[in-house]
Amino acid sequence: MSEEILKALMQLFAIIAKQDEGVEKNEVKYVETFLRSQLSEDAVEEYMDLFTKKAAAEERTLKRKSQVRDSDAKRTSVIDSVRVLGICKKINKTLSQKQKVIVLARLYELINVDKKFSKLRMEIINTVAEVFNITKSEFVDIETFVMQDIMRELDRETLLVINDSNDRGLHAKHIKTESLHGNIVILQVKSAELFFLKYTGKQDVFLNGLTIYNNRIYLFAPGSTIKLPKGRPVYYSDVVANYMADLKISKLSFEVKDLQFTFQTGDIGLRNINFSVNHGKLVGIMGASGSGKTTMLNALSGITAPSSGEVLINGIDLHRQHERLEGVIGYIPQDDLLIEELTVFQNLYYNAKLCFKEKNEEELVAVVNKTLKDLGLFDRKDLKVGNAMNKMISGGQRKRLNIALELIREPSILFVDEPTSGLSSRDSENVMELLSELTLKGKLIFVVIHQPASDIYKMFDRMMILDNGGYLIYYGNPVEAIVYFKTIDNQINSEVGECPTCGNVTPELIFNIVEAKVVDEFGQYTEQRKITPPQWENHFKTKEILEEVEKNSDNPISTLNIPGWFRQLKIFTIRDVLSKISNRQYLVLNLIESPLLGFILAFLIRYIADPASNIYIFYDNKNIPPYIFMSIVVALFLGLTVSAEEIYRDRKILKREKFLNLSRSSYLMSKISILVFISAVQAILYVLIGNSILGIRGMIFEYWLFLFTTFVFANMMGLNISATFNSAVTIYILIPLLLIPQMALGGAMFSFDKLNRMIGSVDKVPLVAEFMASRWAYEALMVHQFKHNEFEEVYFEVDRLKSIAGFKQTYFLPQLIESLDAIEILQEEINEKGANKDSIRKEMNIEFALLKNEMSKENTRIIKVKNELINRKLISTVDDDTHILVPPDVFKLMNPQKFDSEANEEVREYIKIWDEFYSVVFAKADTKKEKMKDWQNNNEAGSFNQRRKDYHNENLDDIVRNVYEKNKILRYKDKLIQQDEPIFLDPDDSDFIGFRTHFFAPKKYFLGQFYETFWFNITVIWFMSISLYIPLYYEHLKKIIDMFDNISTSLKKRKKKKIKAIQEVKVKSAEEPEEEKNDD
Amino acid sequence: MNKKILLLLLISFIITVSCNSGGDSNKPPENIGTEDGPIVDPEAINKIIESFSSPIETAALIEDLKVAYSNKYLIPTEVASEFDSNYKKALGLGMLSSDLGYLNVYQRTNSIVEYLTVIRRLSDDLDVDQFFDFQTLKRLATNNEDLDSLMFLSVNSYNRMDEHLRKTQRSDLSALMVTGVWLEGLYLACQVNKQADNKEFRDRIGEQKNILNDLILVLKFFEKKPHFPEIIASFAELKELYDNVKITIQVGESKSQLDEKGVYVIVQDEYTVVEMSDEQLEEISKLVEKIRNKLISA
Repeated sequence: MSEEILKALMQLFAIIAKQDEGVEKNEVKYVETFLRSQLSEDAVEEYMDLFTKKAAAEERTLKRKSQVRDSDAKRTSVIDSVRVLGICKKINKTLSQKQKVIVLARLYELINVDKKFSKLRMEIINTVAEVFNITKSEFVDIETFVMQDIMRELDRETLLVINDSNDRGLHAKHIKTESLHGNIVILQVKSAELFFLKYTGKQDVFLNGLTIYNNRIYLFAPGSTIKLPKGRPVYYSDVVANYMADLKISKLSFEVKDLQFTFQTGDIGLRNINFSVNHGKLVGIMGASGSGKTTMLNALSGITAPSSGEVLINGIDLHRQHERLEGVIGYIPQDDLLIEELTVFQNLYYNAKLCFKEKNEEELVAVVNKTLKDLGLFDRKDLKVGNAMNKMISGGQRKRLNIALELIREPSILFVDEPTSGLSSRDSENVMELLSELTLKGKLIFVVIHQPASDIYKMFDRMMILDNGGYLIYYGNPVEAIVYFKTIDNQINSEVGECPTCGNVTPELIFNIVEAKVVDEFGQYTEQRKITPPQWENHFKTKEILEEVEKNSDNPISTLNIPGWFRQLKIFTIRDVLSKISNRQYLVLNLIESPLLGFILAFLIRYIADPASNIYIFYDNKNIPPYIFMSIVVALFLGLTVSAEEIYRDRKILKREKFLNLSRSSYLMSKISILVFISAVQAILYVLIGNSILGIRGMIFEYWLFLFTTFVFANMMGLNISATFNSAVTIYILIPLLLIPQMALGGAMFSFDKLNRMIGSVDKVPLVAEFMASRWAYEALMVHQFKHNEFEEVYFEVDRLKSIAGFKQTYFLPQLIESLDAIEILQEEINEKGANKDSIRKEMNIEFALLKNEMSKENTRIIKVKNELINRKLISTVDDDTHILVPPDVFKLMNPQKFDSEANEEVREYIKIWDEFYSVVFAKADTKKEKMKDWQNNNEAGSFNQRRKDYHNENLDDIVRNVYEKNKILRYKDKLIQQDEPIFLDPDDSDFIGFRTHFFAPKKYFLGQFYETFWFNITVIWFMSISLYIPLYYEHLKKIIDMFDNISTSLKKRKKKKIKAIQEVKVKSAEEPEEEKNDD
Repeated sequence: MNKKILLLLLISFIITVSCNSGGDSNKPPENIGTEDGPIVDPEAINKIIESFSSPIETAALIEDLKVAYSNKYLIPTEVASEFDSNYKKALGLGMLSSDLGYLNVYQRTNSIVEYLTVIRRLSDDLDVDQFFDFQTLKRLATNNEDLDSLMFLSVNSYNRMDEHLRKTQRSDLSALMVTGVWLEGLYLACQVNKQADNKEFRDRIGEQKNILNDLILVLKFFEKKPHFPEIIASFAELKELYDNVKITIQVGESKSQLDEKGVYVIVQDEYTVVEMSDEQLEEISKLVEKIRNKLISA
């Protein structure tokens, strides 16, 4: 109480006291005791002085005036009223409603001392009440409460009477106790949420361990206990419950039976927990760190399933029938659940939107505003929440907003993990008051609390104390807990729970007692505890009188009504977009980064080959293939970094939203759709800038599509890791691990045919590389850039025919001849020497296998080429196919026994026919190309060259045609593998589902059909991206990592046990001789 | 504001994409014909072509003359990389081979690499690059080592390219290549001769009369193909000039000498006597230059 208020109060006291017959002794005494309860000894004197002086002054004026005339008395009262008015107005400005009610009650008490209820005194009190804005009914309540003693008179709704009679009034509430003299009366002042208490009898009744004086008025604060001479004490919560009986509240019974929780490591988190509680209670959970408080909270709230035992809410098993309790439970973790970029209002608003589908916009805003007002956050509602580094609102406000998130839907049971940690004592108290108010509305609230201040400690209705190893060592009234432990510890004053003078309790005392250590002979504390946790548990079990709870079997009321999948998606998306937009740095960087990179990259590599020229020629720029690859790397990098923190950042919010049973897929889809949009924008900006600087013409859409696809793939990868790991550092450490394989196996940096043989593949892209999006993207863009640029598009097919014919003539057919030669030589060797036949035969078999395999394949291929020529009208005459086909009986000859020189000659003959055929193919295709060139040049002089310069790129051409490869043909087992011009080599179509090809294949074959590489590859990447959704949704990665964690911890544990066992054995062996001594 | 930016981006994106799909007017029709006159039997011309000189020969002569190097004689590589039709490419490939020979004489390593690059590109375009071991040639040239093997390799690849062209029914290109080698060689010889008049050199230029006749014979096989009539016409013009050059073969005295196996054999030397006036030489030089320049110009 401030000096000013006290002064004002003294003045009021004085004015009231002097009325009628002046200040009575009793009144002076009352004032003195009142001051004593508020102030130190010295100050009491000072204020007493003030009071007596004022009173004396008042009396003097009164006497003077009464001497003059009677009518003056009226004037005096008017003057007094005006003065009272002045004082009250002053008080109005400084005191809260609660305090004002207290002042009013004190004034009544003062009058009540002598029961002198004169008209004048009452008038003054009336004035005070009016100025204080106290309603008439409450005023009457207070009046009745203070002045009446008899049951009959006390029969008002706001009053509660505790006595031993069965007589209960019509309106008043009643608690029956064992024999008690007189009544204990309690008054509720609803507007101020205060309770007052007085006792009319003559027995020793204690309030929080302090004697209640007859007819004095006491504030009945939260957490208070009234100890009666006989029977069970009356708790604050009991009183409140009686008042709440009128309110429409859902009745709840919460029963915990034999709850046990064992960690995966084998440690026991909770042991044999039994308790039950009804609605409208604030239950605290206390314990040293590591005693299982949070484990308890998680098990009680249904977040983790217990190993055994059950939690019944209105008879419904929380863990087995979870769906029936949906929306009944709320959970407020210790962490922040706020979205930093959003305002206070937005945070709550989107949360509300996700909870109430039935509410329309107006209703929602109203609910949110009301909640904000209730929590005193309304004037802060448009402030951004910010983070710890960039504080916009205070810690207390953050905490309150966090609580508001759950509060807004008013769940029947609320679990709160350390709501006061990191808050100032004022903020802590505010938060706790908020929670305790909720219990008044019938909520059941569990709060894990750590070292609560006295006032907070007393707010709890029940306190649960856990000891190391998950032992429940106390459950019951918090103030009694102190008595309980003090008693066991045999302390003096053990029956007093709180400080008799200040009313403070010291919850730390409990832990001092619980964890007291044994002192050794040198007076040093040892590690050993005086009383071990199991012993404490036993103590409690023997003493335990578990209160009976009202069993309830109603269905608990669910306050949750979550919207459907699409509505959720929409809400999630809007919420996320808003938070992203409000983060200016994020937005600007994301928009600028990719075009900037595109610019830097393209600008750096805009190379003009001719030193004498200033004209940029696309054809001569050696850097186009690296540009394509770098673009893909950029896409992977940007895509990964933009998404890598997305889910990680939301993980706490996600945990909570899981609690609300919100759809994870909806959430993920919202993330993905936002990222997809960002990616599309980034990709187009990049391509627009990069491609135009480098003069890549007519490919904007294709480049965009591929970069966009790669971005999305990287996004999906990023989302996966961001859903898996639990720190930003791990995520960023992981990025290179994901990116470097993509770079190394992208096909640009290292040639696929020159990799380690363990992973390499002779005729196809190595299997590991097939999993790299970079490889598909790079291949597709390279192939597309080569095949479909405006220049080559026209010539591609003739070039392909030329290439086929050229390869066959220069490499393939000579290789067959070589094989035939080899057979000849080997046969001669056999005939001549005869020795070492086996090894030679082996060699020969290889040659035959090669001939058979390749020639039979060529049989089918050559027909295809022929048909193609006919289709393209390059050859008009359709002569018999058999002419160029090697007949089956020739293949039959291909074995060491039958293959004589005649057969050899025959085969050579066929090879010659093929050679001639390919000559024709080449000539036809070549002529056609020449004609086409001429046509172009005639149309527009020099246009062939010009188009080539503009649209084609030499270096890219070299790469996809593999011109720098020395071994244009490769012999591998019975196969001849074309290494030359892969871009013109159609893939093998013998495998129906084998989609794998060599690198830079112009087409892809899958399920009996050929597809353009471009579209096939894009499908593959999209398929990979979509597949990545599955582990993302089911959190596979996280599960795998957790599994590894578990394995490693259990291994460690086993090791520890082993060490322990060894030590025990050692100790035993050390002890044994001693025992022997004792025996002696 | 953000919405506006996005809208703008969207619009520009649509515009670029739709511009992309704009048709291209200069695409040759698919049904373009491939009829290209009669296919010449390679056997008939092979023999003639094989008798022609390789690019090294002129170079060897120039080497003995010891005249100063001039890059003015050479075909600029920029010009060469502009060759677009196979006709030009084959011709250019031959001409550049002669230039390469010239460069080799003066050991101009940097230029050699430059010319090799163009030659490789041309041979690549003609699909004869498989005979052209560019990497090795480049290594030899840049390391300035063993220029003889460089010469050998390039001559070798030249021969194989030529052979392959004929084998793949592209004798016309082979003929053009040979023509290119010959013409550029003759041009270089004329230019060098201007620098230092030399009897032997003059004779060599004069002796080309016979080769020119053969060449015209070969080219006539392909006179139905585009561009060939022009060359034939130019060469016919040149032939007229050469017609005035008299070449007589005189038989020298017979003498005996030891052969490699240590056996005495009787050898009779033949002398070619070329009668060519300065005016004639100059006219030939001028016309050669004219033809050559016309061929390499676009």
